[in-house]
Amino acid sequence: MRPQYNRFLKIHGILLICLGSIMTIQTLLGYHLGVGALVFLKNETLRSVGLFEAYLLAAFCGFILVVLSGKYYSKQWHLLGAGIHMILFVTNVVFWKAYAQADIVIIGYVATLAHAVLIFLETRCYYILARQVK
Amino acid sequence: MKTTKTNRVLLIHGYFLVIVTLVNTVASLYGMKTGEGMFGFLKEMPFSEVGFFQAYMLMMIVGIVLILNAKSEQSWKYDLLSVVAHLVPLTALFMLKGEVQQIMGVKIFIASAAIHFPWVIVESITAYLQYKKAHETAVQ
Repeated sequence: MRPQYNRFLKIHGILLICLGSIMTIQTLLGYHLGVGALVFLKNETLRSVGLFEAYLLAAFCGFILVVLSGKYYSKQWHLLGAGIHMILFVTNVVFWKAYAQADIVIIGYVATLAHAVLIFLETRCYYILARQVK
Repeated sequence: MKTTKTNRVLLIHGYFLVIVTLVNTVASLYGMKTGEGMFGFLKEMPFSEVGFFQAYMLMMIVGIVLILNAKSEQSWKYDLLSVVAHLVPLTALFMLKGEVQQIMGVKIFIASAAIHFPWVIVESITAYLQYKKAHETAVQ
């Protein structure tokens, strides 16, 4: 199995850890101080709880990808990476109104596009590796 | 991947996570649409569902990882991963304890903590036992 695919999974994991952690901090800043990218979360307890969990779990999923890209790397973990972004992509599309309501539509476009790109890249990695095995 | 004996706790935990998160996802969407059920409060705050939906589905991914690695040679690592996974919602619950109890109700707060805490304890013990077993096998 080519090492660059393993490396891609690791980079993907690190990216998720960084972005998930940043957004978790942004959630806390938005809720407690009313500052940052998620300023609309000020005093929105329930919304903040959900987003806090979701962002922290996304960072945690990134950590899982880093772990899986090590000694026990397998092509199936690329589907896991794609699955994570599929969840986030579907959420963005289904709850698109939330972006409009919070007046962060541009962030919504960028995030949704990034999820779509990563779904494509991870699925492609799996597809190439599956063909090599055959 | 070298296969060893199945880590049953990890397997049961994985299936538990997949089933519970799927049930919760459906229940929260139903609550948001109709205002009924244990997530009925979401009808008045529909955008709160964004985070819950993502969180439940990502927790399901963690469940899938546990199932797929239940036969792993070093399954204790995944026991530890599952402990950390439960610490995420527990952190959110206890950081905003007062507000969560006020909006979602004390019952949901207790039910949620009662789901996460036992798994943290069970998986911590399993991780220790599995690590010991793996270490002994390696020495032999």
